[in-house]
Amino acid sequence: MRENIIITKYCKVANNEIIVNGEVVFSSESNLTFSEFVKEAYKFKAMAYPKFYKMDNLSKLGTIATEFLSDELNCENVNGDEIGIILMNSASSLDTDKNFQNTINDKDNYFPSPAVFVYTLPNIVIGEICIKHKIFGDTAFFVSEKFDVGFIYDMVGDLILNQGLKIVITGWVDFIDNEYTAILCVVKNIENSNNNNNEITKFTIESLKRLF
Amino acid sequence: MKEAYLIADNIISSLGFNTAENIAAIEKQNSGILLFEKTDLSDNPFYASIIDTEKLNCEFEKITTRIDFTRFEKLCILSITGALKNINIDLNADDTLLILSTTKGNVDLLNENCCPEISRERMFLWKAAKHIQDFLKFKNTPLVVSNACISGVVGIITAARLIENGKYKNIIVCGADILTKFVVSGFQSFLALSSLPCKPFDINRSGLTLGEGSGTIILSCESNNNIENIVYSGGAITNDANHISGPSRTGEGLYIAIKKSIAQSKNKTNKEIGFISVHGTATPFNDEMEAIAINRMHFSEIPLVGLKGYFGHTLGAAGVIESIAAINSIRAGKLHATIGFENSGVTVPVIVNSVTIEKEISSCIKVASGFGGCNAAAIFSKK
Repeated sequence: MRENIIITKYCKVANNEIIVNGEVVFSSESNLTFSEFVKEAYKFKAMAYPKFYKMDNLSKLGTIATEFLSDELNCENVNGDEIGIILMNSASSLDTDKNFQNTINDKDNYFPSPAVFVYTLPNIVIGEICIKHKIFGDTAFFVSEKFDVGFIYDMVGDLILNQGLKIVITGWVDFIDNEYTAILCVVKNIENSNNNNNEITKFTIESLKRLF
Repeated sequence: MKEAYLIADNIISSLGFNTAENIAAIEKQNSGILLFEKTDLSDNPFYASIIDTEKLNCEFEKITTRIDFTRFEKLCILSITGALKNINIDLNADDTLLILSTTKGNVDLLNENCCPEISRERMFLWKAAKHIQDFLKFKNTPLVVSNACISGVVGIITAARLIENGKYKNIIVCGADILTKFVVSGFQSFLALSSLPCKPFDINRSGLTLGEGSGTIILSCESNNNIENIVYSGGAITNDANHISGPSRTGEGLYIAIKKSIAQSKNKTNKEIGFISVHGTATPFNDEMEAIAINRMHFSEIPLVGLKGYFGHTLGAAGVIESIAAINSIRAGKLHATIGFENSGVTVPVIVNSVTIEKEISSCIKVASGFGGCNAAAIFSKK
């Protein structure tokens, strides 16, 4: 039943601020680069996850945003293969693509690296989040000029109503040329759920339009 | 829920410009992989499946004399146009959608020497999709899937789900990727390329062979009465949650994907599944992982068919091209050969089909896996 699908938490990362459920929970000086800002946010969260430093900026952005939602993922009676992630952005992995291209442009300065190449796919951020939070369910990355509310509503609804998922993280994670925005939310099915759920809003097209 | 019928298709690769030419080559066990000396792609000679540029341009000129299209966009437009040839679908309708599956789209535009006349905006995948949409006159904005090497299968699964839920009447799924220095140098840096044409599941396999191409498959809630009806009967996408550039040693993600797909499908048993169309990149880890996942499902008796020996690994196109070949196998009652395979090189028992044989087939499973730990499985069945 559609009425049993709710959004329990959302997080926005933009302009060197992290906003959870509408409240600023972390910010740093606006003149910091993304790399500096996200390092501060990592320390603020006391993440102790060295892999974070190896990630490209898109993966760091998605990973840090998810970190602020992670308490919503630890539910009793929800297995890793009942959690999914559907993400979308405009620039795909173009930011890292440009970095990789710079390593192959010049014959005399040719140094393509597997550590960079692997991040030239937008879905790697999903892989990183799955590793961190042991998520095994349906995951997919879509590319669109703007956040496609209608499609996300249909797709996430289908995952919960027809594909057996109980929790879906969905949203927008975009990074290019030091411009970035992440808006992620946790969508849950509360039918047959014994957990106390923090309902922020019902999962509707209108609520998605408000959040994104 | 509605049924998602697979009503038309097209494959463009080094083996041909339509499905029939490609399938004929597969049935004759002809590979499209050749040794190339192309310094714009690699300093050293390398094996790959590459579409002849002159032929490509010649085919494209039959559609339009316009020249403002990239190689990637030409492949998409040619394939979509080819798939639409014998059926009547209104692209300008509210209930028709184009899904474009690609890993790298127009990534060659990052090289400033490439196609200086083309706007760099089309490096954005949605912008390239819009260019294709405008030319073919689709009403709806295309949906772009970019999910590594499972992009094609994700496109098909997404289309099937949208049709089952009654959101669209017809969905055209096009998967395409071109061979670029970007991709070749990246896989070379991973030491993932084979020095000979790839040998899926073989004891002497040593890596993958790259390819380029496009495949288009049309899903509809209405059957096409001119062909035997095949439907999508289940599918799932999963993640290994293990490593971003290597598959799970236990095949966990792929195992869950096949298990979930089988749970949805009416065809469930060893006997009902005629074959599994594997991802079979011929890297040591990928093929081993697939064998383990299939073994965990107790599907060791189901023949495996891998097609990377014909097309190379066409990345975002692979899942669509291989699904079309699989559907053709069911219709024709022919099991395709895994060329490059001679002796099993995985640690659990598998039956890899190595010659084209006649076989009555009612359903098959298509699987794919990729960077980011992603896996997908889809089941196609006779109606």
